[in-house]
Amino acid sequence: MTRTLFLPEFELYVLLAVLRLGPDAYGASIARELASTAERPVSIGALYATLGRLSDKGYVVSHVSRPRPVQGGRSRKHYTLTGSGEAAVEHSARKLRRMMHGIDLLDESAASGA
Amino acid sequence: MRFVRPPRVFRRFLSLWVPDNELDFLWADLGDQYAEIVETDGRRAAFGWLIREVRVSFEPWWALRFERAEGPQTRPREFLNRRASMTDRFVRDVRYAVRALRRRPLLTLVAVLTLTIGIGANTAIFSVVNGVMFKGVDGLEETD
Repeated sequence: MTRTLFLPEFELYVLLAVLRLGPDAYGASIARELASTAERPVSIGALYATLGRLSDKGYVVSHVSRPRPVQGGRSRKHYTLTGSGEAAVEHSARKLRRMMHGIDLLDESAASGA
Repeated sequence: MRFVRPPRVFRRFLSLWVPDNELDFLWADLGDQYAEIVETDGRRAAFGWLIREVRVSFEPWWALRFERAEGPQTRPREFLNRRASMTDRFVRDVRYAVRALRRRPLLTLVAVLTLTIGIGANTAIFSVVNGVMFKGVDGLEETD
């Protein structure tokens, strides 16, 4: 049997934020995305630790961008999901959906932020 | 907008638990956020925010460093299930104690004050008794 690791909730949120942001995913933008979309304010320092762990697990890879051409501009570390990262998100989301099936807890309009 | 840099002493603190290759990027992001908060809420609010950021980042980074030292195969659940070495148990106990103390700040304060006053009073009394009864008072010579 293939052993699949389940993602802890916060790691799942971070991976989803990286997916949502696409090429613009770096520390501060991920923190902003989590605060605005998931309404979950996070510490940037703690977020970097989680990104480090996800990188260790092989779920994300990072690359350093060129410094921005503005005053105080500097290079940033951008994150992208790997194939196994996407598989882990998909796995967790599928299990969650299966467990939620038939449970009438979610108000769809509230869940979509409408 | 003038770019305001955060005090570098906080970078020194972070360098105690954040690896060098991550520190530059983390510090730069913190710097951007700090400058934004200075602009909107003032320097005092930004300073408070930065202290909180540095404090909150301590535990997750130490946990990650510990996991890295244990090897890439280690996952939290396996880590809890396998036979723990004495060091593992000690670290876990310390972390549990810190969490428990943080949950009850008033109790922690009373305990720390009790220990402080207790140790201080004992030291003071011992100094007096030692000076007066055992060593004798300076400047006085014993008579035959």
